[in-house]
Amino acid sequence: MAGPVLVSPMAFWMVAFFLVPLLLIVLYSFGTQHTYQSTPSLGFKLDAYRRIFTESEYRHAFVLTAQMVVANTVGCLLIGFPLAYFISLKSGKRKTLFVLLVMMPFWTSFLIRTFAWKIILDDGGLLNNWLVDLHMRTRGNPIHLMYTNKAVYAGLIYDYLPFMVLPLFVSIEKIHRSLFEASKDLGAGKWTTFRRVTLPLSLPGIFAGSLLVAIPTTGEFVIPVILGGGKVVVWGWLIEEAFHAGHNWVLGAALSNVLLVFMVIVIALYARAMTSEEAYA
Amino acid sequence: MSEPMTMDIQGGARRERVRFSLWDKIMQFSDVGILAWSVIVYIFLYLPIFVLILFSFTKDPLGLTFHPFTLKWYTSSDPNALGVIHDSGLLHALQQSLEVAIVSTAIAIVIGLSGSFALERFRFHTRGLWDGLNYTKMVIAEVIAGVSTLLFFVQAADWVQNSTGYNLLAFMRPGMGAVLIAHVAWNIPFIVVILRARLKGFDRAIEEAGADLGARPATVFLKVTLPAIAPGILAAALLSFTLSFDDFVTTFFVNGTTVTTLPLLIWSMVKRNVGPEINAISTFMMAFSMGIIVFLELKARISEDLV
Repeated sequence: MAGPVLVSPMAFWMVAFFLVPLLLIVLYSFGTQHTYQSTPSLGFKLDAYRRIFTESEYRHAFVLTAQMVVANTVGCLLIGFPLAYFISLKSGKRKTLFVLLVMMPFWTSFLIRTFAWKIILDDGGLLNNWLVDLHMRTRGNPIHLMYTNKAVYAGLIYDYLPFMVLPLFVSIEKIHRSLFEASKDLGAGKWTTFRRVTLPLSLPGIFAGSLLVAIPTTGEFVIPVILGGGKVVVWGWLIEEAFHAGHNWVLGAALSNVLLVFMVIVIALYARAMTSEEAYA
Repeated sequence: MSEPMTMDIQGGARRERVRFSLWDKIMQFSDVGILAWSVIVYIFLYLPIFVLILFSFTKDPLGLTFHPFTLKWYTSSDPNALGVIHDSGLLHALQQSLEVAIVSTAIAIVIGLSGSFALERFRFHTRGLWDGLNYTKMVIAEVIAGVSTLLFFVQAADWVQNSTGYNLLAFMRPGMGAVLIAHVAWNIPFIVVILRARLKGFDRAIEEAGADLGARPATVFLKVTLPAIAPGILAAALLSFTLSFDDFVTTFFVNGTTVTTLPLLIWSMVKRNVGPEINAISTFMMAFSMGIIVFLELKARISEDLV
């Protein structure tokens, strides 16, 4: 009996303030919004979904969001893997320090860390000033990075990198060191060892890291707003606007629901890839 | 590079030829490449933070070029551009941030401790469900959690008011109460992850020793278990505090008109595009978070529980 009793406060909190609200948005998305009233009346109307699936604004936002999810996940993986490899296998006695160095930025507000990129990427910012100083660019002719997709990608990868590096590090760390020696003794070169030993055995980390990056990115709106200005309209921002600016809770709920389904599909795809990978191994 | 391009390997009865590919040759230099890459990534991770701190001391009112060196963004008492230490709005935001972070951490740590004990020490059939719910909460896009919490809070409060005639759930309407409830839900899963790891590595023999020596279960818990996992609790509380203190998205949806935490204040400033003042506030906020972490690391070595 002790187990259920001890778990009950947590179970109550997570059900009442996470699961039930989640189910409520499903219900709300089929409701009707009345003017001058925040809570909609319930029913079974598909108006909000019809709007989402027909208007081009939503299609653009969806495509853009999907691109960001892919770019962020792949970017973090490509940038993070060598780093995780270095920390686990090449950093010697200072391993803990190097891991902490990856985690430290996570302890500061991501809002602030994102905003900091503006100082670097702005038309009159640090990067453009350097380029002028190096005579690679003239002052009136800066590289436009701020308020473009490129700035948003930089910010996304920057903010999500630790979520990728830590699982990668853990899975590389788990590989028994004798396997590398065995591979070498059997005559495999470094690339072969990497391809046949390191990479397959770090797959759990790759999956976990990709999931930790991809899923939250689907709803990300703070980074696109700060670094993309009003020009980079992502799905998460449409949700925010439906609530704060539009006062259209039904639309917001429907938008959230589509995102939820999208997330479930991403998770299912990962889970499937993972099981087939296990079967292969 | 004295290794031959091809070599024969005696593998029991089997003879196999292993060939070194072009990639193998390139990878001879991989250590240097990986080291260089890692240095670049670390610079990438820290450059924006250093730039931000540096640019809180610039004289440029746009905050984009570095003209050293002024403290006016911190100390100015000019009413048009109040420095950080004189800005009452900022201090109020700091106060509310601390309130949210401390109260929600205190509640979440008790609930999380009891939950992690249940999940780690007992076998019961809903166990997987609570585990799954926690992990879902951790990875799900925060905007969905924020939006759904707002909807639910307002709906529940309305429903109770309409059906009973009394505004019994007033504390759930957007404002401090709602923010606290949402933050507790946001913190619990992270606390549980850390505490469960701590409990897993826990040698239960010392608990049994306590019981054998005649201590009652409550005494064993208070005198043996709790002290043993105290560093884990501290680490979990710290993570929870920081998550709450820095949280923007969850607060953004349920804050109503009465709550403005530091991240919300910074958000509104970022959107208004005010110059180095944000850099100064951000530096101040980072120094605050970092100060707590460094202090606790020196005092209690919390990193062992976090890495």
